[in-house]
Amino acid sequence: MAPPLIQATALRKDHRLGDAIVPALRGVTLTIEAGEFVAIMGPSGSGKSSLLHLLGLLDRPTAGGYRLAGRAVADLCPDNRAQIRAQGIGFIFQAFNLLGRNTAIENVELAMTYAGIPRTERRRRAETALTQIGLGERQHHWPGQLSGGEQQRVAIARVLAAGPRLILADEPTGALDTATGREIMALLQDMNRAGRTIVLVTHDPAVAAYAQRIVRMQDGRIVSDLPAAIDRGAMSMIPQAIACPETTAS
Amino acid sequence: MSMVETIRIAWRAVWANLLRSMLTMLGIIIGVAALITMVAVGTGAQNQIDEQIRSLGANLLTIQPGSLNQGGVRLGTGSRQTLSEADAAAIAEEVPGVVVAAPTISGTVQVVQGNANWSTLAGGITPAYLVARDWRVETGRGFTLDEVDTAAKVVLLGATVVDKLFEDEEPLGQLVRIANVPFTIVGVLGRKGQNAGNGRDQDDVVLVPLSTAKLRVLGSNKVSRNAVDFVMVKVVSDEAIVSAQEQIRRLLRQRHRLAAGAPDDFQIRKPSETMEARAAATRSLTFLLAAIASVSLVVGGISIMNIMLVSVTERTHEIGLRQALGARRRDIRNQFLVEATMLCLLGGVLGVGVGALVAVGIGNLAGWPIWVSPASIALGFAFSGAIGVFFGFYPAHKAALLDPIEALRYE
Ligand SMILES: Nc1ncnc2c1ncn2[C@@H]1O[C@H](COP(=O)(O)OP(=O)(O)OP(=O)(O)O)[C@@H](O)[C@H]1O
Ligand SMILES: [Mg+2]
Repeated sequence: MAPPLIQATALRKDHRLGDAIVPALRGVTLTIEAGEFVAIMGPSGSGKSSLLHLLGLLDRPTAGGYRLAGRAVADLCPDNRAQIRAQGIGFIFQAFNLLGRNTAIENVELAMTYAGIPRTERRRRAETALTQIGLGERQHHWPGQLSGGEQQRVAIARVLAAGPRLILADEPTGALDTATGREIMALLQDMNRAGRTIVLVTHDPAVAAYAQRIVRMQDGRIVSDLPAAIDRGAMSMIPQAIACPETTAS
Repeated sequence: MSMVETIRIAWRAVWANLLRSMLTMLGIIIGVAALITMVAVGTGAQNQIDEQIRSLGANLLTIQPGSLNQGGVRLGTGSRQTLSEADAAAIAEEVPGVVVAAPTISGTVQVVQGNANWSTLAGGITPAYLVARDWRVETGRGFTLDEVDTAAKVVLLGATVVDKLFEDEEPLGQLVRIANVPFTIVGVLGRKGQNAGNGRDQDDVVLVPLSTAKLRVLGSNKVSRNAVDFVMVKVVSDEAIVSAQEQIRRLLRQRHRLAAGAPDDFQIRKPSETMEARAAATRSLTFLLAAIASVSLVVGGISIMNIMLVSVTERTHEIGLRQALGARRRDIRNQFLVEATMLCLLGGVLGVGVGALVAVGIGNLAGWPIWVSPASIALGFAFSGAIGVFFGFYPAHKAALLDPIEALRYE
């Protein structure tokens, strides 16, 4: 059997803030199989973004192990991590993160540029992706000329065109209205159905509902990890049963 | 990422901020323009001096009778007529490296043609003289050995004399009277212009065979029939000049039977010497000016570094995003390095253009000879490129080392 796509063991992350050390993750163990759609939820400051950054090889853990598709990646050098990001990981952030001086289609091409895909191929895939998300007509617009939802769709097209195995989204709907958020989630769901693994951070239960599995965090730890259907029941019926022992223990 | 992609990205950044890019380049533009202008002015001056040295005749020595200083009394050159045609023949024969030795006499004469008359310098020469001075006969021909042997009444006119005596007619074949003797014009000399040493018009001259000059034109004031006013010696190369000079000196001392302690009764000089000193001074001045211009180029480089540092800070978020999308450190570093180098090279291009225009303008206004050499253009480009790489490296390095998370969080 193929190894799990994500296999994190006892991940710790301490942030340094001057002389103080802020623990963001206090030992997170998490396994995600290829093809899953996982939502990470939890209060502000619970370490969701920190975890996502580690999973995306944007950051290095203070301690703990991380295997990506079976390969130990926790201690790779920055350039190797960059290469893996270019070829296998796509990010979608809350703030849309487009380059303001590049047109929509150039922004879509950017990730493929770093993956070393040739220019004509890039252009073709970027056009296809933009058409697919309904922005085919606006590929030469600047980010400033697009609405928030459209910008986020360009960011999704960027991931779509590059075609990474793993997609990490940090509150992708956080800055959008409900209807636009739903459109974005529909696009993510399509990508998941096409076989991509998605890990999504959100505060919004309606957004988390698109996932098959919900991981809840608090104070740098995972406090619950359940299939979406069961999570909904568990949270409505016995919320304290899971949250309380952890908070008192720490 | 390929270099082509990197260049494309850098070009986009330069273009997107055109005004700022131009201002950033300004230091380089001014530096390169100054470099080009200074070198153009310096090289022009130097070329002019070289041209003047060439017009004297290359690798030339002149020997004149008399000594500079005798018994505490300064005597004019030519005060004793000790130099002879035989000396010249011996030098040509015996001293290695000597191409020709031209015995020459000279004096002022009146030249008459029809109603026009003109006072000018007459030279009594052998064919060797024209060789020594690299002097072309523009139309007609030089003297034959036969004409020299037979003291033929033939003359070569300098260009200025032709201007003075003939309006439109063809001078070749016509007669002119020199010291009341009719001479046939067999040739007109090519133009040489002013003598840079003494300012004399070198074309204001008539040349007749040495024998004829002695017999009919300038002979009366010479003590000895054999004496000459000076000998011009052409040496094969610049390197051979010093040794030739020494050997000529020894030969002449021996021929003139001078005792061991006695001073020379002749002087050997290198007429281009003072001009060569001027050429050397001009060269050092050019170097100095180029060095000053280079300093402003370095200052331009520092301002490039300054702007690049600001730019890296401003674009921290962009750098973080690029890193998240998979840019490696070297991709980021190259992006900024290429951007800085591009700014400098563009500045270099504009600077070369501005510099060339300014140089030509100065040349026209001040009437200076200007020469924008390809070498100085190449130097300007190479220098500005090197400045870009040098001063761009630190900001680019700084950008490459940014942590992706911190960069992404930066607002
Ligand atoms: N670069 C940093 N320097 C210092 N402390 C940090 C840094 N990044 C995160 N932290 C701290 O680590 C903890 C976890 O932060 P993280 O951003 O992972 O939380 P989060 O769950 O994503 O919160 P939110 O829902 O508000 O985005 C917080 O206490 C935060 O203050
Ligand atoms: Mg967060």
